[in-house]
Amino acid sequence: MTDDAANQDDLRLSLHLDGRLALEEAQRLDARLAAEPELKARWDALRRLHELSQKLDPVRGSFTPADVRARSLRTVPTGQKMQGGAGAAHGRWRPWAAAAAAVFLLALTHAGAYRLGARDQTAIEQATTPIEDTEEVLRRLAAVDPATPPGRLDTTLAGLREDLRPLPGRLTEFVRDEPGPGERTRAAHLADAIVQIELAFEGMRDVGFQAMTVRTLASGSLKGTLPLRFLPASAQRWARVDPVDKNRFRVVIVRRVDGLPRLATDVGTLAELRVRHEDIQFVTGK
Amino acid sequence: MRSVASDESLAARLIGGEADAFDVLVQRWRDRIVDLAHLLTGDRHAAEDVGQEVFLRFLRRPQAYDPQRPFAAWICTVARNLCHDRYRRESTRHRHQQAAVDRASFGPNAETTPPDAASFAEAQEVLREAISALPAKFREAYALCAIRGLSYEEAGKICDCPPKTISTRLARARKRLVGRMEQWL
Repeated sequence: MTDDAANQDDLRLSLHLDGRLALEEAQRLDARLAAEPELKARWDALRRLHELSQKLDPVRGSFTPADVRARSLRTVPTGQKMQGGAGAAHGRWRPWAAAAAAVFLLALTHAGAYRLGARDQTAIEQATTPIEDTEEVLRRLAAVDPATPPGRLDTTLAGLREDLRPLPGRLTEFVRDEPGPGERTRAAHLADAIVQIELAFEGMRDVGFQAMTVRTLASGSLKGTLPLRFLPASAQRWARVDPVDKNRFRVVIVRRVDGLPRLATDVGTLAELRVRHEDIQFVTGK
Repeated sequence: MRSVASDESLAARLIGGEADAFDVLVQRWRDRIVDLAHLLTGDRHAAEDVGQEVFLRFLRRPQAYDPQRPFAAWICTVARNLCHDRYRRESTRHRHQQAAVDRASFGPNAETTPPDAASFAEAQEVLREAISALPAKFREAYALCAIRGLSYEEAGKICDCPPKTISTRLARARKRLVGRMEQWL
């Protein structure tokens, strides 16, 4: 049988399944089904596929008319454009994504792996404006100098940790102001990610490796691309990608035991990597 | 006996300024739109977003709908267009599909796992992934006709193509799905 004839058969079987064949043609096809086992096997597979498809559980929405009305009353667009620093490449970002990017930058800075520039600070201010004491956090972050001796750096970081400790709750509240249920789910993911970043702060201080997964940070519409893309070019210098297997890799943030960042050598492919968000791991270590 | 207002009459009432009609339409159509968006995008969060966006647009510009035309086709078209916009915006489309293809290709071995051993839930999950991996046009035809039971004519209006094109896409989608679902059928 030629490919064309086989395609014609497939089309007829499909039409038959949907009850779209004329009676005579349907009867002819039924006769062929009785006589041709190969065609019958295709027909049976199609019918089982159809039955399975009919039983697919529908996904239900959870927003309410009030949610939609609330969104319609917003005077600010759903996203905000970052002019530089975190999230610039994405143009319009939802506030939660901008906030996530900001927190990640804060985490990198906190770990001594990144130094905030003026544009980053602007981006973070945009993302965290509804959060109290942001200015104080930023002021102290800006005061972190990679050249600071380890002893003083530890003191500064200890203070910063205290400053940042209330941040997840406030940030979560901020994100939860978004009316959609999708946003609420993301807020939960974000809060989870922030907690994991907090844990990583602790890991940074140990000799050896402390793994944390920030896959939840990448959930939502930016899944998979968020952790890699919002790493600014200057931060990528402090990160390294280690392939684990075909589908997974680790992003290793490199930091020397004395608290000073070290330049990694194989970061050129960082922006090129494309992986599933659930396979992304951030690993801190020396 | 109380008659149930049609979607078209509710939409007309909203256009006329009766805000309550909007609530009824959201309650009536929310799940169907989110489900359709989920089938088209393969992403739960994206489906919620698209669902909200559909009704947000309707609330902001209800006059974009012509009450003389079927409301079902109109609202499904809006949802479908928003899903397309989303694809265009996100450069991750190919990666998502590829990931779905990769996942779908890791089915149970036919020799070690007989078809009847696969649970129904597993089969549904594999089917969803296989649908996500279909080309967009095939996926639309399959989601609208084979899963949600629209006629070829209705699907054609939504996809802006003749019913015959829908039937061809549907047949090709089924052929691909049968190929991917072999162990579960």
